[in-house]
Amino acid sequence: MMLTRRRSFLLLATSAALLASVLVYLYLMSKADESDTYAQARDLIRQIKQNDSQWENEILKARTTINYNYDPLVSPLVEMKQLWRAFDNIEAHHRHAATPAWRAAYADYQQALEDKSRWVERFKSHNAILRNSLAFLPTAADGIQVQLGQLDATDTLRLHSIATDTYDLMLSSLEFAQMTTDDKAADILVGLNKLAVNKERLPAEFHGPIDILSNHIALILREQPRVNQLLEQIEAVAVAERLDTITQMLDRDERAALLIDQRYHFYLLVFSTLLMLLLLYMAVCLLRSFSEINRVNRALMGANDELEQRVERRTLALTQASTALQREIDERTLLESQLVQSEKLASLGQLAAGVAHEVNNPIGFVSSNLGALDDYFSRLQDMLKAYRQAEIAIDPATLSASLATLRTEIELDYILDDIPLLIRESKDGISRVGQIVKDLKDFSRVDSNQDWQWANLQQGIESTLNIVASELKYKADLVKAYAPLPEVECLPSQINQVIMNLVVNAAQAMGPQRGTITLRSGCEGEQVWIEVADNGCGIPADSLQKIFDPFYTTKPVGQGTGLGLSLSYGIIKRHRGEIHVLSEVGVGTTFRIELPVHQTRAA
Amino acid sequence: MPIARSLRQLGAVLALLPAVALAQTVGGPLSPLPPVPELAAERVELGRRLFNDPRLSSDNSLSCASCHRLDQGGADNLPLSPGFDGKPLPVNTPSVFNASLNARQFWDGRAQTLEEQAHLVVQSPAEMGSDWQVVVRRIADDPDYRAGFARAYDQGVDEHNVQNALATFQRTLLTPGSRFDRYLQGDTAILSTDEKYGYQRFQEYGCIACHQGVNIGGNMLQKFGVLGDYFKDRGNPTPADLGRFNVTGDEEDRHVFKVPSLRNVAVTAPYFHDGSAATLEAAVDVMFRYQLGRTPSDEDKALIIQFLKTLTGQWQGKPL
Repeated sequence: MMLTRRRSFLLLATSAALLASVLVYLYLMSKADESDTYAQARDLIRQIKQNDSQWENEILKARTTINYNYDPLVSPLVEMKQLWRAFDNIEAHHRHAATPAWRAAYADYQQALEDKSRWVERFKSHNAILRNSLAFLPTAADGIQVQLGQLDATDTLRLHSIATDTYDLMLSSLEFAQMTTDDKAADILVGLNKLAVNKERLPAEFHGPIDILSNHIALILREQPRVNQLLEQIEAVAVAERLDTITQMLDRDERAALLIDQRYHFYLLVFSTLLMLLLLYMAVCLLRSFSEINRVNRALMGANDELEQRVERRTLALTQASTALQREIDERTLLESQLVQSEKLASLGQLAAGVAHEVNNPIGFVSSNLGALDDYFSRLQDMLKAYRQAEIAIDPATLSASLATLRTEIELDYILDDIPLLIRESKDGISRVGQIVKDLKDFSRVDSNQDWQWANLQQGIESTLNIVASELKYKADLVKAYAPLPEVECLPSQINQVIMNLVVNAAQAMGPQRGTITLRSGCEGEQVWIEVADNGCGIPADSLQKIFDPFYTTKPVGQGTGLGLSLSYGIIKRHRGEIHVLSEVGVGTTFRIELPVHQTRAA
Repeated sequence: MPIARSLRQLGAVLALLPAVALAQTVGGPLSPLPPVPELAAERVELGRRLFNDPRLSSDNSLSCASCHRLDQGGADNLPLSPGFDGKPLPVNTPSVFNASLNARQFWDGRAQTLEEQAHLVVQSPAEMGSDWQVVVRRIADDPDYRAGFARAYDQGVDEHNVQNALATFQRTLLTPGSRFDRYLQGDTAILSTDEKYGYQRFQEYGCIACHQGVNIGGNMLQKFGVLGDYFKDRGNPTPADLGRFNVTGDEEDRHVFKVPSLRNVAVTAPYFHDGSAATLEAAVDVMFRYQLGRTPSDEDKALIIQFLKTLTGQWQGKPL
């Protein structure tokens, strides 16, 4: 994956670089507008040519001028070399110096210039002395003529002939300078010979001037052909033609370059167009892939959202499940506690029922014994009355007196009065014990503990109140406002337990002052209701919601389990009933229980 | 036919005459020195220091100025100067003054530029006996030079730039203000009548055929001994006597030398490539005999020498 991406990146970079370099190449090739440099180059060549012709002009001047200043024969060469260097610099940009044709043209020109400068250098040397001798010739000849004229004319004809020879020789030499032919050279040689012969015929003072003259003429004879030859050589050196060749090549190259330029312009145009099309295509592709990416992105986002929602849903479900579980756990805990509590109550009830049962027997025979005792004593009273009446009749008086004393001592009268009272009270006590036992049995209902039965709630309430009476006694007065209730299908012991809870709570809600607990009941259609109201301290609003929660208690540790109301709530709910609370702090609290008369229990 | 021929001859002579007459009226073959050129001051200064720097020779014994003494006419007064090894050089030391106006350098004209000349002298086993790598290293090791070259040249110290600095300095070594130049510039009263006659003789005898131009010589090569064999007469031929033949190997260049400039000639004795002429008189004699093939009168010779003495110019405001 990584590798392919790198490879495709490399491929992309390479092709981009390739395209860019092609573009740059074409641009450079088409941009190379070298008409400027061509013009410059041509101008330089033209200047070189100008210098060359000026050079030649100066050479012509030098061959006809004595006392010539040779500086102008040096400067054109210097100038030409400088111009050539400049030209070479320009041409270095053209890069065509490498072609054989150009190399040849360069070499030809350099060779030509070198030849020419060498010939010119020689020309300077030879021309200088030639001109000097030519200029000196008339003076030298004149000197001889004058000298000849000064001679005593012993042989005028010969002297004349010598003068004529010398003059002719001079003229021939001057002529030779103009028309250098072999004939003339031969003439001059003949003349020189004649002069040499004539010299011998003349006095010694002539020898020096004649030698000088003939030396100079010999020099002319030697140098003139050399100078002419050098001039021919100079003329033969085709510097100008070489320059023309270069100019022509420049022209040709320029035309070719122009053509190439145009061609590259065209290529550039085509390439640019292609590139533009490619760019357009790529733009379209890009747009397309962008929209594709967008689409995929959107889909992805949708999926993501959905996923999130699903997660949320799952989380919710999980939370709910967890809540439910927690609730279940709580319920279980509650149930367990309730179970424990009811077990406790149940065993307590059983104990109470057992005790009641055991107590019932002694109560029975004590009660019946008391009845018998009452009956026996009234019969005993009648007997005693009879004894008393009989006492007066008893003789000895002493016996009767002692009987009277004993009677007084034991306060028989008082006993006789008190015993019936005691018996009545005992009977009453026994009946109360019986009632208590009965209530205990009613409350616990040990015998029919968990069975739904039709029960008289009022009776249950009364029994319960009896059980908790001792707790209420010092705290509150009970007010009962019962409306008659029908029998209700319920678990009576549990309902009793609820009533007891509410009543005990109400009693505990009382402050130091004695309060009132009002019990009301009523029936509305298929519903019965029971209210337990107190005028105690009341429950703060923030606690009100929590009072049915398990283990919630405001009582000091040890006084309450915190289970009472929650247990009650559970019991009422089991009876498909409702339990409500109304409370105001400082005014009091009212609990209201609503129960259906019928339990339509589903299986 | 003879008539026609002689007519043609006459015509030819007549055709020649105006040219001769013309030559003496136009301008004149001599011209005054140009003003000292304004060149890059830093390069000139570097060149001046290099010119006086013995590190250019292999054993640090010779500088350019050892032979080209600017207080002695730009040369020394020896026939042959000693090289770095103390042995005499093959040819006489020419003056460095106005050398930039010579068409070629050296007696045999083997260098066309001053740069080339510097290049050859440093390498010459007889003269400086050094080599350029050593010279450039020595120069480059000198922080002052390094800084100077860095300022004056883009490439700093290198062979080409050292040569260029030397040449640039030498291009400033012109000696304008000679009395003759001032005469040429219009101050005709500055020359005495004799000196003017001397100039006239100088022209008439044809000295000017070779010693012409701005440098009064220096712009052509010439055979030493045009009208006589100088070397045979002098004796003791040396390889240097072959002159330009040593450069070209061309028989025609045997004994051919650069025509030296006559500027400051009065203060640059001894003369000729072999330093054989100790005085101007001796030199003028040799020239008349071997180059001009003529015998001047003593008077003419004296006049010419007087003229030659007007060619002494000034450097740094003082006559040489």
